[in-house]
Amino acid sequence: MRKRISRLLLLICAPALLWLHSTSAQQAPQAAVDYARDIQPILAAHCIRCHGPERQMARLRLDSMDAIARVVTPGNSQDSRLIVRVSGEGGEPRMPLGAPPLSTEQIRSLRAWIDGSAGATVAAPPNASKAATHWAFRQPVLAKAPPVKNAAWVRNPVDQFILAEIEKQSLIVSPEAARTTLIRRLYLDITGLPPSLSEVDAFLADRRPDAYDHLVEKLLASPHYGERWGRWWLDAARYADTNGFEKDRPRSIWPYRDWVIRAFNNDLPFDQFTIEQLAGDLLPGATLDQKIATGFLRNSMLNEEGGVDPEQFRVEGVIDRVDAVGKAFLGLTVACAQCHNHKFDPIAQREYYQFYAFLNSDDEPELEVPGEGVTRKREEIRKEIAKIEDDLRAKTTDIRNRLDGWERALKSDSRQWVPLRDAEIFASFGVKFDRLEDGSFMARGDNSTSNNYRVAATTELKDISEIRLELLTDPNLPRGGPGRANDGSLYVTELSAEAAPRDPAIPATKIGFDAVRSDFARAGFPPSNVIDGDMKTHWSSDAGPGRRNQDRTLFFTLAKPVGFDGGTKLTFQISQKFDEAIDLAGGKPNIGRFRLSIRTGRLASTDSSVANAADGAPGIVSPRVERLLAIPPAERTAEQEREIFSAYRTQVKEWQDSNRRIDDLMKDWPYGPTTLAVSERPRSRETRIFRRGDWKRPDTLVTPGVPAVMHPMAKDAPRNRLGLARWIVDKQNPLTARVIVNRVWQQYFGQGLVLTAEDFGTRAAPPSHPGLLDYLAIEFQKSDWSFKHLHQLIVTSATYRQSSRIRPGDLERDPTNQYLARAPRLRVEAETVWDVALAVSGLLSPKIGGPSVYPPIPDGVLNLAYGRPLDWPVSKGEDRYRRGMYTFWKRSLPYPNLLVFDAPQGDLSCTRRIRSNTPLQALTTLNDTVFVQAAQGFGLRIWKEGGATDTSRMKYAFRVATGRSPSAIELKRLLEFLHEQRGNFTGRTAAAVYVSSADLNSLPPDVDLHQVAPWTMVARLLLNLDETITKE
Amino acid sequence: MNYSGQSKNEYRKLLTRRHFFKECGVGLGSIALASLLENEALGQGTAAKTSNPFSAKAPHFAAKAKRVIYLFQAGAPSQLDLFDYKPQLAKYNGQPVPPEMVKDIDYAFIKRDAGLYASELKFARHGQSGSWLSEALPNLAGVVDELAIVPGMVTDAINHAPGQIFMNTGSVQFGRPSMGAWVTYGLGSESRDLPAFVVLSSAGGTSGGSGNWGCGFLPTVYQGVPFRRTGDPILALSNPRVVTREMQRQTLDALKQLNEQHL
Repeated sequence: MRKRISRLLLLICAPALLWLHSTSAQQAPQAAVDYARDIQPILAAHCIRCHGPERQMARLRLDSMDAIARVVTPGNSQDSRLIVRVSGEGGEPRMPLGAPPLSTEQIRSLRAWIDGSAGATVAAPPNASKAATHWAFRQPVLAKAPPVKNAAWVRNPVDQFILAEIEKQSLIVSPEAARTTLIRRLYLDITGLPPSLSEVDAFLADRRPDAYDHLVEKLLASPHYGERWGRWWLDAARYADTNGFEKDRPRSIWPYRDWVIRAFNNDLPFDQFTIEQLAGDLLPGATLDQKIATGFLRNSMLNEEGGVDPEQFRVEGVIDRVDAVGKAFLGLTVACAQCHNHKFDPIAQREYYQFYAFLNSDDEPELEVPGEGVTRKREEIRKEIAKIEDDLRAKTTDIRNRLDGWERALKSDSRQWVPLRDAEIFASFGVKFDRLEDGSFMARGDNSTSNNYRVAATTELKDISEIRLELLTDPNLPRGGPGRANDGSLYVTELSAEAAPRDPAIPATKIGFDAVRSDFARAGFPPSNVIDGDMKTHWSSDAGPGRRNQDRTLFFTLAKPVGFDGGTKLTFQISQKFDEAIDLAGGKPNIGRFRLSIRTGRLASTDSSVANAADGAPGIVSPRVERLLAIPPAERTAEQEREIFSAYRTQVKEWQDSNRRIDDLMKDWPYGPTTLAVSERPRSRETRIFRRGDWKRPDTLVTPGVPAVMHPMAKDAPRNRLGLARWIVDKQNPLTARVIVNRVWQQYFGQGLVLTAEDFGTRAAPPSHPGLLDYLAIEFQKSDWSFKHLHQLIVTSATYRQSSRIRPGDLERDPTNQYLARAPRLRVEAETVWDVALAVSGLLSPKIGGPSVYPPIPDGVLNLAYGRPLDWPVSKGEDRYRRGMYTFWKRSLPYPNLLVFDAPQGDLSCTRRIRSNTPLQALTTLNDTVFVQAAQGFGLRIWKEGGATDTSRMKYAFRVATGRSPSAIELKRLLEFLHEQRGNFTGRTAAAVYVSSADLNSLPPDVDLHQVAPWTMVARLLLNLDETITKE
Repeated sequence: MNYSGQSKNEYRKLLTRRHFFKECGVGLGSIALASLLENEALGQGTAAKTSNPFSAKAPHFAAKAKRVIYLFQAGAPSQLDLFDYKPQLAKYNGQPVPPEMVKDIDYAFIKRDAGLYASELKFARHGQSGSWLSEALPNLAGVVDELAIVPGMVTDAINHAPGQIFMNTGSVQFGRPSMGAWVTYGLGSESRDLPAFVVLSSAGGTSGGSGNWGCGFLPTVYQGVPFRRTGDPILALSNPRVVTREMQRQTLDALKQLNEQHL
């Protein structure tokens, strides 16, 4: 165990246990009782545990209509068993047994239902599934907008639905908010940034009747819209920049974040948006962008801790993906059915694993995103090389003959390799192997130390004369492998082998090697190093930039053929022992994927051209070229011919100079950043139900499928991720559109029409405005799933444009503001708190996209990282002041200034941020380094741009921070504060300098900091105003 | 001017409850405001007027304890050497694990046929309760009747991070509320001016990271407040450089008045 130091973690909770707290919830009696809305939730909450899919006490189930009919007599609640039992009448124990009784209101609802509409529901066909009964499983219906009295108020159908409820509740709509409030609200909602002063002025000056609509249009076209709403999606996508768990290493997946931003800015239709994220790689002719989109799935955490079973955490990753897809797209807590049938929703455990099966068959490649510069440079290099090669061809008159001769020689050995298929493998440090179809092994799990692989196999072959070790590329390896170093290279230190007959009594003998050859030899790392018995010398697969990620082969010729009657046990020891010197690219260069094969007999032909081939790799070509040569010459493409020629020329001695020039060109081969993606495995993994959700207890085999309660998959749809994605955005899907529009609504109004954005199941409270939810869902689909259309619809409504001022009595009449007779007044989200401070200060960088950045972080935070202090290379230049969404997100230690304002941790899909208000938030905006710097920037800005007088500067400052002019009282109080602060700096020049400037080494020129410092204090005050970080 | 002396002084003052209350009034202003916002934002359909998310709540049982102090000692000596007397293990010391016990288990670093290793320390019963303690705890033995020892806990998480998360949140998967978050959520706090749930961490961090004291799906207020070993014990607790106590007071007063003016 490494952990010698005792880590002491002291967690103190000081709860008080004193005040009693009465919670008698008031419930308004319902007019007409609806089974789905009113009855089923009661049954689900109180009865299903013992009378449902899991347990059927008294052989009674209350989760299907035909079963319920047993205890309900329609039209006669008095004689219905259900009522008798829940009310505890008739001397029988009251239900639910051993749990609090149903409330009077609930029993009243049950009675009303039985006496009223129960007859119709119970009489429905016995196999009527839950789909027919729970509102969310029924397709949205476009209801006629309800009639309203105050029709003049209505701007679009949204208002009609909202106003109808408002009038029903006898509430009164609020007046439209002030224009200064509206523009700031719109900016914060659509771009996540506050409007600049000139933008406010332009809007105030715009006297056109549709000025507001123009503003909406302009903002939806802003590239910052993609950032704002991209971040909204990244919550559900559980975006983070590290792998999570103990090691929590960095990962590169920001190209996915960029993709999301672009998708929103281009208004990619949501159905396409979904399909690309779940199955972009499976689309015909998939583009790089579409493959990047599958990063959605890869945002799962990854445990790289020493000794983990990689399969366990692969399974956990798939479980997380099921959860994320369930929450983000379907609003279903599918994850509940991992261990047992869903307790409340009609999802059986089998169906969970059928859903899981869609996501269980992927490779996990690291995709290169070359970018323009890299692509151009590569093209240049390719052209240069082609020129040299064309010259070689041109000046060699008998080139065709020579190539044919070379190819014949290579193929002269017709002996077949026999892969060792039923081998056993063992490695230390918990490294585990996948056994692939072709007999190769793929290493997984911990890769923090150099490792030895031991392989044992039995063969019936005799006269074994050669052994082959193939080092194979694989999409799951870094840069494609074949090694596990970050650049995909590997080093082999030694390979030794033993042979023994089957009889365990006879000891094994060591196999001696005559020679070892390879298709590649790097200077200083010849293949002979692996049989020299020296643990300090190695063979390396690293052929340099642009060439290192390809299959390689080592051939071992036995000094004496082996093979016993009755079978031979072969044991191989592949040693990898690295010193610091060769661990350059990062990540241990262990073998990633490999295969061992043997063959028998001697080479019959002694074609001299083989022996005479060039140094280093005499007469051997890489497995890739070997595969090309296997293609009949007539069927080869020009590109393949060129590759064959490239292999040939390296083996021609007299072309050394040309070869060297090409090698030099390749040294400049550039690489682009990578991102995580998925691709379908050539053969799908089988999926079994895990008993009680335990991955170690696989049970019945299942095939991909969707829950029976939902609409069926199209008959011709592929049973893979693409089929799944199309099923999710099928217009028959009753959930997807509703779930998405609800989350968009939630973002604007602070709460969704369905409060539980992540759960539309039977336990969720029904929507506050079912008609509106369905209207928006249908409108979203009809607009070709356009987010921008949806935004436009919402923000141009009269509902949205109301004032958020709370009128006397508002809090009593509608404390949660569910009827929206006023606009919500909400503290802006974590990233926006940050963005507002930087924007107001003038420091904010407008740069969009790119790798995550490292703004300053308090010292003490870094020390809390596990193992050693967190590496946090503070960004320089504009990257120090980027929007909050670009801050490097470490899962085990999220950036505190954002976390404290409720940014989600990123461990799991989050579709509803909690909004809390804590003293720590106030401390952050007051005292944290970044916010202090913002105040300094803002102070300087006020001094320079705010005019010549105290009053003009103060008005300017206040408007920049809040968007409106200060009232006379506010102005007076602010000027008082300014004078107070002037007094504080009288005769204290040093203090003035410290307060007003972030960097003493680069003080702003041409300003008297003594004069600026009081304004820095004003700036700090304004940045901390409640209004500054609030959407009014 | 000696700024560091000054800030040290301020830091000491901040540790007093009264001072925290007085000087950090703005924080509580936010909490009061939170009542308005929470009712709007969380809107769980209840008309409850709970203004403070920490307000003390009635427990299900009469309380005896006033506070919870929980020491999570990752990397400490094993329970097998302290509290957990394992006579069977002693019997098998040095022998391989009986195969039927490890049939379906894969061990990370250990071979299946590895030998068992019992504690080398002697155990004896102590106190009226007859609790087993090893000889490594001679002093604790004298007060053993004052302790409740729970030896029946099991885990199947063999790795550090999942194991720690399991211990602190009840799940090997990240994303669940920690014990402290639950306690604070369920019982609230008598104190209106001090963090209800604080975390002190010694030596390096823990494998589970902030998940060990996280709030999972509960509101962020219930997340533990880590006190740090360097810099401010609580992030951003001290005033920015050369902002004196008076200047901070003036700022907070102005803030309060302006906020009230607007609302």
